[in-house]
Amino acid sequence: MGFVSSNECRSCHPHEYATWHASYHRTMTQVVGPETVLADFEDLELRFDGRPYNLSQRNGEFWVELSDPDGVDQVIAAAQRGEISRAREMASQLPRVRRQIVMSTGSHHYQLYWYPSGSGRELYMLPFAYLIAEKRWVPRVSIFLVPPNEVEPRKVWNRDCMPCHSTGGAPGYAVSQVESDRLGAPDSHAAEVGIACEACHGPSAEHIVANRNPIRRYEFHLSAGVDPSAVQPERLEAERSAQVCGQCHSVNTSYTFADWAQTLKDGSPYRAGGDLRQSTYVVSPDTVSESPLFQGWVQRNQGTLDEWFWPDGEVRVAGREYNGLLESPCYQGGEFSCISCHSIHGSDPDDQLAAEMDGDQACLQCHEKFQQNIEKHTHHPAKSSGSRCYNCHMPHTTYGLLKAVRSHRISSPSLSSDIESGRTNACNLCHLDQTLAWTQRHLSDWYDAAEAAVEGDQRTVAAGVLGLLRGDAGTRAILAWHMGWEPAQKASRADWMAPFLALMLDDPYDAVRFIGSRSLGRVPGFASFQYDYLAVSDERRRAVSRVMQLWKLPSDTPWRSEGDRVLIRPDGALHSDQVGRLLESRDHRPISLVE
Amino acid sequence: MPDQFLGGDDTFAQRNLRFGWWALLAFLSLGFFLEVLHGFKVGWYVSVSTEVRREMWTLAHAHGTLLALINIVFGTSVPRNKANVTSLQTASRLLVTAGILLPMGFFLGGVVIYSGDPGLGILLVPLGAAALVVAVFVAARHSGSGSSSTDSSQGQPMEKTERSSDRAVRPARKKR
Repeated sequence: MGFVSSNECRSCHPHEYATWHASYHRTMTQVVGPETVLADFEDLELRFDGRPYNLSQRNGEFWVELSDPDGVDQVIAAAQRGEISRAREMASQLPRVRRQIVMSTGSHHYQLYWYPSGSGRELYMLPFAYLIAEKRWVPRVSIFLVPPNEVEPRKVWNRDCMPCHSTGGAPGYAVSQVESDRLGAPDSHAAEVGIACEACHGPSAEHIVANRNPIRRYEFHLSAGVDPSAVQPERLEAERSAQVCGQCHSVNTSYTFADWAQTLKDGSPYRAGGDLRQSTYVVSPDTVSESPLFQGWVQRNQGTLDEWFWPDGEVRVAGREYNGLLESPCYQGGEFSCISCHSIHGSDPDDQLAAEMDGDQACLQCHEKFQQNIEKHTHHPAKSSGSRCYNCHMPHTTYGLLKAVRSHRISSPSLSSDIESGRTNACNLCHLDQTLAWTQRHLSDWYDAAEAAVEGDQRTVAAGVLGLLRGDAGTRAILAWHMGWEPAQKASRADWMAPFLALMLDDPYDAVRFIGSRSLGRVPGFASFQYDYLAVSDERRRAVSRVMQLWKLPSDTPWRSEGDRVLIRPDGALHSDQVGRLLESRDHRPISLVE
Repeated sequence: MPDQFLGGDDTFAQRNLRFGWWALLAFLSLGFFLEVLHGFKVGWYVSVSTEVRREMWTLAHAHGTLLALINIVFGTSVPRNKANVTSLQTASRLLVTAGILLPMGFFLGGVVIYSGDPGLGILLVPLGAAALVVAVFVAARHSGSGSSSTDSSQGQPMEKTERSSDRAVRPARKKR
């Protein structure tokens, strides 16, 4: 028996229904209507790649007028074949079409919109995102960390999103067409749009039918018995329980091409409570050979793994927490899983942390020995951010949603591993102004940490500065975010940060510029600084100059005497030559972080 | 001269009246109490997770009040007819029983709840409902069979003959 949808669950589980209903999981996918659309559609013209998109709203319906999307595909194909003049001619003749916006994705940080492609039940994404906090339309590519000017393939909801953003989704592509690489018109169906009850509790038709019998229900109410007709992640073994979340919160794919084609037809074969490994390959750089499908992909596309993982195998993109969890000693102990800290029911929708799990209690529930004298372990005042378990054992080293997000590989800081991976370590994500040599000294003194290879500038220049000037785009995004993070500003003082954040305002990556400007706004004196991260380069450079002119080191700052490590001279000016030297050694490798 | 059927404090009609008025007081008070719970947004009553409790106690309030009124109406309109005394006494007892079991079942069902299901107190409800149905059937069957107690407000016992309601009605039908 199959899926029934959350409406069927409501009458017997009102609390669970209400708490899920308040979550962002429910609103991940919504049918578009005046109640669900957060963006402004009032007779608006947006432009992307030189083409206009005219948005409008009439009688509760939302519309876009655009160049025929299938025609655009042909233009791009012609351009890619090198037939430039033909591509131009085709582009000039593209008809304008009107399409109704029928579905949305997201409701927390930003919202994306979908319109019918005209091919079966297939939906294409509008190439814009609406930033909810900023109340602003931006090109979709500008909210992801992708190399500048990269042409992103068109997003198709049925193919790219349906498995995780709907419940019981079956994309409905014909296997033969998948195999011939001509996807064709799918006949897609889902039990429910959004991530609903049955995504985590399994298809519930059988459960519903069985529990129409009141005697059966009261037998379970009055005994400690477990109803076998429904999956309850809380009652599963830790491994199976974590897999319920891991079915979506992981970097994963199929084992073989045939499996993948079947998934594009029928949807994921995984059902909550089952063994995820039977149907799904959860990617790890160490086990690529387990999936011939993924192995072939990696061989054809060098750098694929870099889009998800740090060089030491730690996942570096947000939303894939299960990959981090698998590598955590806590999880490997066999009793820890996602729901040790998270809950969809009765938690803050922001991070879905269960009651009291937003602080040390999350760790102390198992590591009781640290309860009594936390300062002895942390060497920081008990009330300070340096004594918060999360900050050292789950630092913000993954990237997603235009911010740094906590790593879910719960571990103890290892300087050597971080240095080898080019990842800024937990200590220096607060102590942005301190060098790696300083960090090594403390880790060695306090925890007998092994000696790491700290060399050259790492010994003399603050780790935060080094990463921001020399790091790859992902590292720059993470460090720019930390410069706006209150605990880091307290631990490192914020008065030296403005010129370094200013450099981020003209970064080639849209996402880095966005994060840099947001953090700059949190530096004292720059709260009302005007800047548009999507402005043309000249304007951005002028913004950098304005910051440099506005920035003035306070007279009482210690940086006048000890500012060398943050590249500040005794006269309070920036060591421009040193900054220039480090910028020249920046890691310019193109980087995409696939959230 | 006291009415043969309504003459003493212990007659069934007075029992229904007495029960009805006290029950009305009790269940109107319950309604007031529920409004207070709403007014102060008391979590264990108004939260979504206690939806069943709210529903059960609302039903207890509504059924209790309605059954109190039915008892009062019965007590004041009961046909006074010797031949039907036994049946009407049964109806009287069943109405009081229903007036207790139905609202009590709903109320107890809301005290302990199991997510979307009420507590075991709810089992009183079908018993009360059965009592109510039988009582109403009996009362309906004998309705119009004699003068009602309201007639006695004139101070005259209305029917003291052996004539039953059937006898009064049947010959008329035959004549037609």
